[in-house]
Amino acid sequence: MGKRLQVTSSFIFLVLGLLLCLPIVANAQSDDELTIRGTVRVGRDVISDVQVLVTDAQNTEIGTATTEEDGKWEIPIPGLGDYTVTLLGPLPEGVSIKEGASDQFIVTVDEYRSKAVGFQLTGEDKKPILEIRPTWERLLNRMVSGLRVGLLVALASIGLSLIFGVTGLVNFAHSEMVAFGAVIALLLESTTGLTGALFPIVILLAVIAGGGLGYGLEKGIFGPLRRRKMTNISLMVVSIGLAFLMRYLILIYHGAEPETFESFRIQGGVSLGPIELPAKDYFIIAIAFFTLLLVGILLQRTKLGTSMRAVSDNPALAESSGIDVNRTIMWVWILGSALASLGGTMIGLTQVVEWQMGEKILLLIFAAVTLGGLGTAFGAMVGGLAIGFASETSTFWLDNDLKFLIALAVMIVILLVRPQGILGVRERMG
Amino acid sequence: MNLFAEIDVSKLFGLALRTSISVQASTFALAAVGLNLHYGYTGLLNFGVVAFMAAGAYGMAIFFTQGLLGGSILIAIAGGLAFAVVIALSIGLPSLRLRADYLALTTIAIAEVLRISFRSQRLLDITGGPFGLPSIEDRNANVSFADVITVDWNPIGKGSYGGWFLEFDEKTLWVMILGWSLVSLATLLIWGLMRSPWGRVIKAIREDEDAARALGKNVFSYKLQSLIIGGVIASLAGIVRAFDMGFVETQQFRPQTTFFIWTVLILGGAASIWGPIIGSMTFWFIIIFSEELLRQMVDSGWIPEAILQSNDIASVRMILMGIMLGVLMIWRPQGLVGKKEEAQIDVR
Repeated sequence: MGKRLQVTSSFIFLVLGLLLCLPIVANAQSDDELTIRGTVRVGRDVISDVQVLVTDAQNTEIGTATTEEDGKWEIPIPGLGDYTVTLLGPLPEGVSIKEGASDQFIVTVDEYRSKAVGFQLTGEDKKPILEIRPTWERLLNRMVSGLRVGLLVALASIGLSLIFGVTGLVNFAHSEMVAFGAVIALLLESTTGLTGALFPIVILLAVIAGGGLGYGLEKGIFGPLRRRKMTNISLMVVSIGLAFLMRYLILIYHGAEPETFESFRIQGGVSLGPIELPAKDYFIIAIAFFTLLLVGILLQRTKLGTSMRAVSDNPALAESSGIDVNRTIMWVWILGSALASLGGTMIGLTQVVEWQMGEKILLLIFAAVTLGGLGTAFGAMVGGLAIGFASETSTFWLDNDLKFLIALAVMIVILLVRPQGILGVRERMG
Repeated sequence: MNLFAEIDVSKLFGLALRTSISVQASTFALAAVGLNLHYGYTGLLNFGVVAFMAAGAYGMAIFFTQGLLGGSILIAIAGGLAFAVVIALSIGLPSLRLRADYLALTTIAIAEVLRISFRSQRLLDITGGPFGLPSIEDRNANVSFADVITVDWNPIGKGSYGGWFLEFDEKTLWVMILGWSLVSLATLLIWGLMRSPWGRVIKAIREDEDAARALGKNVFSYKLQSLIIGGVIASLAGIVRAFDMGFVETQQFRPQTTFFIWTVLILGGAASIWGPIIGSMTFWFIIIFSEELLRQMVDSGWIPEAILQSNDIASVRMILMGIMLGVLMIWRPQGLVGKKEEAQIDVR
């Protein structure tokens, strides 16, 4: 009877999925709705694959769009009012915002007509900078930025997985630890003035602050509660409370407006064969890659890493073989939180730093960790790469706002079919 | 400067009381009654309460605005409830066998899938995309599905009733009566169910699933029934809320609403009949009382601008909710009226 139910259930699930998809395919947008639209161009050349964000007067996101091959973008808006339009980039090599112009401005829509918006861009020299690029090249570029997003999600996810591994806690506040890193880095940059070439110092300080946060959370909250023998489910609910506390403290003290780092404003792309990305993306990919490599070495080759894996496997056995479990757990919190902080700073670099960052990335991280297998650090790396890559690359075919659906769908399917994840061990299942 | 001289005590208590009996409080209580059946009695860690509310509200709104099956409001409400049953089945059939924390992740993910799908610009013609239903133009022209219930069927004559801070117009009063009546009915239903043999099996499943199975009970089927009944109750909360606001919109169904309802339930006391009602009223009283107190303290200069500005006070609500959830979990998991031995949180 179990088998039959399983078959029935997967069938119903499939039908529901199809039902949800059907109108997505069938429905074309009507022409008479209110939109903000524009064409991103330099002189006569149009630019494809540039992201534009529209927010309303309360800083609520209305929508994002990526320019088509003809440089056009269009975002429907709910009604009359003031909207902020932001050019998120990336701009191709040699293209930048005109001197004195801004990548962001406020549009007042005061009549029931779609509003056209143009950014003031300039290309260097007089040489023609753009030709319409072939589809495969655009896809390749999208895949490389998918790789970037995947590396960052992996960075942000390791901590969640490691902490689950050694304590059994599903930490809902982890995504706020990611946001914390970005906000602290932004604050450090603006107060110390360490910009440009000195910016890595800011990153380092943010990572240290992240480690400190992890230390504080384990020392002040989760360590004592664990010793009170609170169950992991209760602790999970506590972490949800903590997540809200942190998220809205960030809102109060950081503010509602999305901000960008001084050091890496929108900048021109750098070509590497057919790949053309903003310079900062190479920097981000390199840092993320080497950090992941370092974490791998730490886990496999050092004494601390071995004890982390041992505690994760079997805490009782680890303790009886002389490993200081509490000390190991403390180091896991510090390491995980520091990595979350680094991931957050990098994510902030690629787009904007805003208080909702945590909320937005939470389910991506969860998807990554469940895909790879809760509790395994390498699983989180693989899962993060896969989820980030899949969701970012999907925007080549799908709407921008649907990219989270890919991640969530992967997560649901994995939980149902193989809840222990790709690299997880079967016995973790209940 | 005397702080008490600056504080308008009457306004403080008035506003807090007003909110604790408001339509909003009734919808939270209603959703918490549904969650109580899931979590309190059956032990299901449902973090997707908001999926049921969204299903009810959107199901109703889509049926009505598309004029499906004749498009009367009663048909539309039935459509919303049916949609909630579909959601319960599609959450329950595949995922009820999962371990508790996996179930939690799955339910929160399904709720988000539903919300993001509703919000998609591709569904603009059906769900109104990010702008909801009815469309902004219709809302400006005061055309809404809520009118049938709140205006045409309103037995209360035009005017305003009550006094002090508890003064309501006929529309609000009518929706309040509807909301709290549904809360009472749902509470009565749960009370009856829990005294029945069905309820005893449900509680047995929460206490020891394997034992219930050993006694020949089909645990999976009972859990699914619990999920459907609780889900339909929660979807009623979504529908009442839609009538109160006059529109549905995806912003109302963000994951945080789920956690509000969790806080309400844990504050009142999981696995207790009165928990959801007491929880919701107390929750809103505390939230509005502290918000208003802070606002008055900021306005009178008792709290310096550097610490808190008046436009930040809305965020304090979320911070309070977070603290309440954590603190209750640590020191009083059985809430205000729950029994400690029943409010066990270590479900499988």
